Amino acid sequence: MEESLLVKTIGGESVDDSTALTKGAPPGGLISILKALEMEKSLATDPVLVALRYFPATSGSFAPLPPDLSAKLVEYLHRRGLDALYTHQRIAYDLAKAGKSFVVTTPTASGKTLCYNLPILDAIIKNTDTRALYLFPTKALAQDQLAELYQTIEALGEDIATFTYDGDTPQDARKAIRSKAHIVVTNPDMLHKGILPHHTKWVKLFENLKYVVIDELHMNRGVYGSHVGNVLRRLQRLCRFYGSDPQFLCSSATIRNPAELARALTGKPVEWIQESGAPRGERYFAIYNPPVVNRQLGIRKSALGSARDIASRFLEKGLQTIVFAPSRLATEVLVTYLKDAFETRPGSEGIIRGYRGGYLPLKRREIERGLREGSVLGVVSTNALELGIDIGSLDVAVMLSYPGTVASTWQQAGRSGRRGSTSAAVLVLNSTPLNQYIGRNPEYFFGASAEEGRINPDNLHLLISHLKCAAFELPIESDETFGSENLVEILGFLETHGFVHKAGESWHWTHESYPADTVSLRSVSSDNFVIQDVTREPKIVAEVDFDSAPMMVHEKAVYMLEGRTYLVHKYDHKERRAHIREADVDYYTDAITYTKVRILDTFLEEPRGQVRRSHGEVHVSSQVVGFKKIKFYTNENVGSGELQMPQKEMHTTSYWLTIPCEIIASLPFTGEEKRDGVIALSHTLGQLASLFLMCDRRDLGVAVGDDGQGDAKVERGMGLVPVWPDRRKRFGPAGGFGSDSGEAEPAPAIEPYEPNIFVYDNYPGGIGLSEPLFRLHDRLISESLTLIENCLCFDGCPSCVGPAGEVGSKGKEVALHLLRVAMQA
Amino acid sequence: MARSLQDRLREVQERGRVEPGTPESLASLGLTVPVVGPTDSGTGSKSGSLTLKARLQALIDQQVRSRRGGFTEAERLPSFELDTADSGPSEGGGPPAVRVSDVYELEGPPEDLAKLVGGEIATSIHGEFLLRHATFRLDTRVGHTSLEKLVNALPGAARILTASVDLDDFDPRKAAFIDTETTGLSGGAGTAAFLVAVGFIEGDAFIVRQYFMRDFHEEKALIRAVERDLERFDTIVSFNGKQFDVPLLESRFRLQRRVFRQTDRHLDMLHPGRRLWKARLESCSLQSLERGVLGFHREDDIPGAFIPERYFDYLRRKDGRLMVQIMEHNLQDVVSLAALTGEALAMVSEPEALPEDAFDVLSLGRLLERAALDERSEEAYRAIAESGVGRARVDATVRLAYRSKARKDHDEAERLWRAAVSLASAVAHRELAMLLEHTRRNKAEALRVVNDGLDLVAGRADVAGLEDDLLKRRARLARPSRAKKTRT
Repeated sequence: MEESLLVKTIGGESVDDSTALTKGAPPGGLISILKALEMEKSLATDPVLVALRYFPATSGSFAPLPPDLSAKLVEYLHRRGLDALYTHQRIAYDLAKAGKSFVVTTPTASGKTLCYNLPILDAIIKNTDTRALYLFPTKALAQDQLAELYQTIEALGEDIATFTYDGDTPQDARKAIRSKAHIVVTNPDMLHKGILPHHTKWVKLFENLKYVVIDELHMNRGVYGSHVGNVLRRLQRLCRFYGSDPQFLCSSATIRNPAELARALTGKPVEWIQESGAPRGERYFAIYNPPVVNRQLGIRKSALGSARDIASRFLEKGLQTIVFAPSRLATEVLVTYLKDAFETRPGSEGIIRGYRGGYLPLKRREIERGLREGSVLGVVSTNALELGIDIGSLDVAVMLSYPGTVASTWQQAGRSGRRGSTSAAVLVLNSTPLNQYIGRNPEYFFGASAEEGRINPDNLHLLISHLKCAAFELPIESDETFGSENLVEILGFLETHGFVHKAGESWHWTHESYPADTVSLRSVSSDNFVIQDVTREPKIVAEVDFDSAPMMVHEKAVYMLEGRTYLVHKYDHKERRAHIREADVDYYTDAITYTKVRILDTFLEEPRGQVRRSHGEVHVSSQVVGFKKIKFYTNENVGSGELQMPQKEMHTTSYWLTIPCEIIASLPFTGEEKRDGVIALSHTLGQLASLFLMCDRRDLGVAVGDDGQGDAKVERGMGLVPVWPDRRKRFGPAGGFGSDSGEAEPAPAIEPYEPNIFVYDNYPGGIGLSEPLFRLHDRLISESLTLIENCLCFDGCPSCVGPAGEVGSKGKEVALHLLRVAMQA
Repeated sequence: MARSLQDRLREVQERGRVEPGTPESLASLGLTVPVVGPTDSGTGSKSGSLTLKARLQALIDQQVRSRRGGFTEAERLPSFELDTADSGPSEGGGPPAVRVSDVYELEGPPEDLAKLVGGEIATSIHGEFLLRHATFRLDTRVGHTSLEKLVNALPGAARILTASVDLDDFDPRKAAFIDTETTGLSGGAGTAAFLVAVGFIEGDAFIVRQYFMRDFHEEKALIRAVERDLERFDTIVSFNGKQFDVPLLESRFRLQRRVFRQTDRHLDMLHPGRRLWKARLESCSLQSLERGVLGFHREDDIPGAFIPERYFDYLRRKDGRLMVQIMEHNLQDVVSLAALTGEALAMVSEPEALPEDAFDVLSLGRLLERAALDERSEEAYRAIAESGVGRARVDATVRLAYRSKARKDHDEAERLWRAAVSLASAVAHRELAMLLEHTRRNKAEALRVVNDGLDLVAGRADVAGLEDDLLKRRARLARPSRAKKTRT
């Protein structure tokens, strides 16, 4: 991205161009595979490789070592054969020494860590009282970085105490770490729960805190980032108390506004270091749209199957390949396929591995090592490996479906890229509107600057939670600033509820609880479910977070772990535990979630064309109500089941589109067709909304309701199979699945039917996404119209409004009608 | 948006009720806003955890009320006597004590705490706080003991108690007996000590100074005063202070930009208390020790778990009657701590006077043994081994035997192991078998003893390790004798 692009035209002959596919000598296999892909055609004429970009090797630009760098470090760098820095490293050093905060966004493997390690180690060598705090988004990353830092310090021969401080740190080691560690490596969660509330034990750290490192800054967006923003406010409050004022040295993947995000998180001006001085080998980036196999139904070859085929071709040539899958389920399915294909020969066991959250730490370390050492040829991973965990550089990255953000895409692609040789990244599109939008407009993707990292630390829920923590840590003065809301008013609220008490001009914590324990920075709950294999001696084999548990390990679910299949035979919500037993099954399961939305309060409402747009607060309840059984390889739906799982509820903010009943009434369709059309439209709106908001898809929820009175019934599967294969069976126009009584009583053409399409913030209290969506309404409508109008299918396909089999034969037509009406003045 | 902050706050509050979601998910979101305090009651059945707590408290209040009244200033000063008998209500003079049960039925205007407890408002450049002195003659009876034992203890007694050279020159007259009442039990910077008691000996009196902050802004002056007070002492005496009070004070000092310095020399009575009395008493909390060692139990005491909430209530209502009980509780804690310390020091100071209870003698023996006072510890064991009964006698015999074994006094050890074997000690079977096998070279008898031992431990989970040992021993004892037979 940041390098100059050499745009390749698509076409057989240009592939033979000497500047491109002939250069990489050793991985001739790689080039020939790309060539072959480029020759493939869909329906005889359309190329499937919709884009192929070439990034030439760059030689790098250097700057001399800083003249004031301590002799020890100069000597250390010389010993490593370095007598110069990359330009971005030097800029970082100079900024740090000038007392500035910065964020560096150079690519993976460009020596980003030295950008902060060099000035910090130098400062500690020159003044041993200096303290630094490193924040990594996960424990795994922290461990990884620490190993590297240890090596450096050992080579330096300096007495620089560096320790991780997290949930795994033994109690007896903690005391020494608190007073002695020059560098404390931790994560925001531990800072929030374990360090800030006990700051009086960390006097030495807080008094001398000069640098705070935030690695993978871009991770700190959305709900999590909003939490972290508040944690950093608390950190800086305490620093003020102890008389320190740390600089923030950050690294980030490429997002559009790294400096702005860093400012929002830290409340400080932050410089952006963008230009990389590091050399790189040549790279290809390809976008592959699986061929259309049934034009009428708009069905393409499955993305998962395509990704498997493409990865197989690279693996056959012995090229080390990582496949990124969009979900844990897809990860496991792909591992199963690739193991079947590649672990047949004796001794080949373990050359294909899976990797995702939920694997136990030791197993992960083993896989990481295997990748670095080359004993693992192929790995299928969720975005867990997207971050800076050291797995070395691979030859090829295959991405199964658009990862949802431009930033993640480049980050995942960056996992391939060896210095001095050729590497490739292939993005395999699936059939959702979002992916197909990119398939038709690759320029949009290449041209788009990456997403914005948005946070809203002033979300009232978050703010109140963190104010409680802040009051616990240090009395809050009436004239303090903490967020943009009226602090005294909020403190007054907390006082009436007994959390704080005002004495003089300060507010003191007066509650027996330990507030940090009641606030988890991650998703809904800090709880996780353990998964116990009870086939033989019971043993814990994996874990799953609280939110995903009802979907992943409900009873009768097929649980997959590195290609093995298990049946869940007990889901214990109270004990946070699931029992699984090995079972040889030829299908997997996909959970069906059922969502209801009710309007609580309308903040803004405005007629727009013939429809209305609104923004307000809603009550959302969702529940896993059943599951589908899907056959491996064929993806046939071979059965389903009902479930009674606990219901999840929240209040949040939402944008919604209301189609007035007279418009509905005027449409020349039956009642059922109209309903289908509305559901079809919601499908498109939801997909495009996350594209335009450039947010994580999971941060938004979509539902259809009847003017706030009726229930919205939109299921959300895991997104692996085409959604809603037999919608009619599961919910008729008036029926619901599971909770509602009757099955598909044909809907009386209820008049007046005035549907709402909700696109809501998928977080209690809202995280500030639905309000911009309200403003984006016009664009959302016009782009949806363009997307559906330009879709080649006849009556609906997964790429526009969903397949006809689900949204009815008239779904696409009605959706188009509705959008045109919505555009009319 | 158009809505005011107040409106949104109200929603946050209501959400706590509307949400029927699982408590854990809500709590983790920080969404639960428990409805607290008397200002908000009767707003529906789900009005938060405190309503339940208030009901629980009322229950406890009733139980407390059914007992007798508390002690008053007038009763205490000349002689502080506490008897063990749970007799009828005391009709002493002075103002009536405030009970837990009165708290939520306080009538009339708030009353001044200083007047209620006989305190004064101390003033310094750092501000004000409430200070109360209580003075007791050293011969004041506390249960069936008195504070005199503190000053009569032998030099070096504290070292014996703790087996720590740090306290070799412990002088009770240079010790501060401390106890704190706090706003929470969780630790962390948000827990404050609103009441700090410092007790010390002066002349023939034991004086307790209680430092109380009537609100948070008085903490600064309170901490400074406690700091100055503690400077005169070289040792802290506490009950569980190493874990709780001292770290808490360190934290509070930090927040006032001071450093709590009295951390090196610390006699924490929790540990010697357990060593000396755990064998006899089930629990070794301060109140259990009061009952089991000092011989009295408290009347009308406030349960510790209710103290933070009571203080928060006081902060809101500023009615001194809410605090009286806590002031007494805290005072009692320090007096009991001092009495207990005296009792423990006396126990290790008087070689000739052994405790009455066999288990206490045994515990004392072990404590003396730990302090390397072998002769005295054996004396204690011997007393029980010769005249005691039951478990204590077995244990004492075994301890004595181990001592003989360590001295390589085989005859004495054999005699004691045999005595213990006859008292059905499982471990003695193993030890006797070892002695017979290795020292006496009497394998046949050793095997018999092992077999007896195995009969004894069969099926007992608590001595599973011993059973394994005996099984191995039997296998070995049986083998060589067979080998010999085949050779001959």
